[in-house]
Amino acid sequence: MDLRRVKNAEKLVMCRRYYLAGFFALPFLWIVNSVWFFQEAFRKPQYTEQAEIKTYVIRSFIGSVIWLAIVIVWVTIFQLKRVDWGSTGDALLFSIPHGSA
Amino acid sequence: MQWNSAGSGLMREDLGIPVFALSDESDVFKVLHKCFFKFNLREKNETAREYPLCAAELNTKMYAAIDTETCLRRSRHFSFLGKNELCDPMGDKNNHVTMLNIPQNETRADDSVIVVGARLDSASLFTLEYQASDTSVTGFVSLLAAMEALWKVKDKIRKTKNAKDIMFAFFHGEAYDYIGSSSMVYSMTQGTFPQDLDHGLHLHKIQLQHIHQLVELNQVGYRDNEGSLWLHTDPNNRKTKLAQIQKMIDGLQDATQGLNVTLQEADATLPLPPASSQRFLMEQSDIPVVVVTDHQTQFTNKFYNSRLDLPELINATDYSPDLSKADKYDHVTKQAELIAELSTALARYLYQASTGAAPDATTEQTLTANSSTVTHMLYCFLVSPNCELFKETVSPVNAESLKTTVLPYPFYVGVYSSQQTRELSTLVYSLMARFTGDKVDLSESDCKENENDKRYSYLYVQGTLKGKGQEREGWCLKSLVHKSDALSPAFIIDGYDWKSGKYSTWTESRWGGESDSIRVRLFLVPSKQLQVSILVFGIVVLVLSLLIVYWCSIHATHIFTNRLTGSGTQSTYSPMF
Repeated sequence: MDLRRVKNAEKLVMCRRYYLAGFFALPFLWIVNSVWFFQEAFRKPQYTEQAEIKTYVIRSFIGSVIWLAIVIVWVTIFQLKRVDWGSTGDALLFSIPHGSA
Repeated sequence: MQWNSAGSGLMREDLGIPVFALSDESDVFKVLHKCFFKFNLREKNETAREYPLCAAELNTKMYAAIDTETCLRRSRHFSFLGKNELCDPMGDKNNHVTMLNIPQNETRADDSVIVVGARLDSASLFTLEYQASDTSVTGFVSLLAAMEALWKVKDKIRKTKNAKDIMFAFFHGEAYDYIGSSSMVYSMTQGTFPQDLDHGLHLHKIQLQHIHQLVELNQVGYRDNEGSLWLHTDPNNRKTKLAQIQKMIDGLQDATQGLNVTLQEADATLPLPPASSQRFLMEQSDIPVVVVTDHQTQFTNKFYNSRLDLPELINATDYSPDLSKADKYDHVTKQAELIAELSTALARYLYQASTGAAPDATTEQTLTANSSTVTHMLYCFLVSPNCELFKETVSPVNAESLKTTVLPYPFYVGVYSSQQTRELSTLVYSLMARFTGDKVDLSESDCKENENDKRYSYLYVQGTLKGKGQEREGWCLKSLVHKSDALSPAFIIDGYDWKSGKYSTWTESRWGGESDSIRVRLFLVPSKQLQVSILVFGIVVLVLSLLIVYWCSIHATHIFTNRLTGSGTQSTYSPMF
């Protein structure tokens, strides 16, 4: 979708929808939201809905950073400790790589 | 007590790299003369050879992970990609035969079965490379020859009132922590040996309390200077069963009278050497056990479980150089003579132990092992399986695969399969059927197990040649020979504690598929400068081509003007139409 052709009110609706949907463990929506509406929130000349869009973009950004941090920590721990966890480690895997690791 | 100090334990070492054994001379020639000597071997004062150097790439992909527990668990892991099997438990089939066929309405009395056993396999790193001349073959061949001799007087034994039953057992997988014997002992304790049947005509169960005594043949090929074999006992076992053990030793020694074999009692303080009997004693310590072997303390066989356990070293191939293949087969080797004497002694001992009376003169004469059969067996198992004895003793189906076989069949137990049996075990089974079975007049298709009477097994083998033609007689052998699973109880018991160390937990890894299977490549490595310059040249070509493409796309309008404007509606390239 090309945001240039969308009315400002609609932009706000969309931005809010992405922001709210992100709470259902969908961090990608927050990432998309913060990137997609970045121009609208900070670079465009002022318009009525901009302040609200800005809040959503900032919150989405914070949300995605927290998610990213959690995911990175988990993946690191999992990859380092998977073998030690034995059957639990295997059970958490979808496809088990060959070899001793 | 360290029994095998010549052993280096190399087999249990994790080398971390693939290792290949080259047994084809032309392969060895290639590696040495086309690669190593030509490109790599340094002259005396040379520090390093100039490039190019010869290198080898070895590829043996194996999937197993960490240990048996992990790898079996991961093999059971199920995903939408399907099962990803990584390893399989090792094992195969044990074979056994009993002398008596106790009627269904009688019961088997306690202490009424004499068990004689030997192992079939040896360990090996390279499946087809390993012979097991002394490690296992001398032992089980002696047992087979004794069986043949003993069954010649089977009617006498069977007619004797209260004769003890005699069971010959051949254990498979012993090299990997006694897979075969622990499996048999376990099924005895579970009451599923020899058959897990409770209805119809079936064999009487044999349980540990039924065993009267256990005689095991171990390595018997490398006799020390005095040519003596040793009778080993277990010190703990002696504490409870000294009288019976002494009787066994005396009986065995008496049986050697007039024979060219000496059986000496080993030092009573020595522990029992590694033997399948250990598994029986672990479960029931009061079975009197005697192990017959060629060493008193250290193994006289320096090549236990080794590639070098060759028939040449035990005088099993002492042919004069001008012998033809057929003559070699029939030539009674020194080792065959020694084994025949031992088998004769064993057969006579078993006769006496079973019937309780010494054999009379004619019976004693009949109870003589056939040295020609022994030499045939040694030849077939160790030199070439494509021999008359095996041809006669295999089924017509197996005869086809026998035709194309050149190397002796492997003595490595391999992975367990409920459907298939290894050649080694199948051949021993067939020989047992031949030595103990009766020929019955049944056609090949009718020669099969009777649904209502599971006591007998039927085996159709090719038999001897008819006259001078190529056709064979075809025998249907009806016998009491049976096979049973040689699979470690660790894989049978639910929730077995893998760390307990009670049973064998060996598994073999699955091997890589087509694309990354076993492969060796030899090639020349150029010098670093040459490698780098080829890379740089490649990069330059890449950059140049990018520049040209870029230039072309900028000037596309100039280059392609005529075509694009000329063809009107078809100017847009559309692959769909």
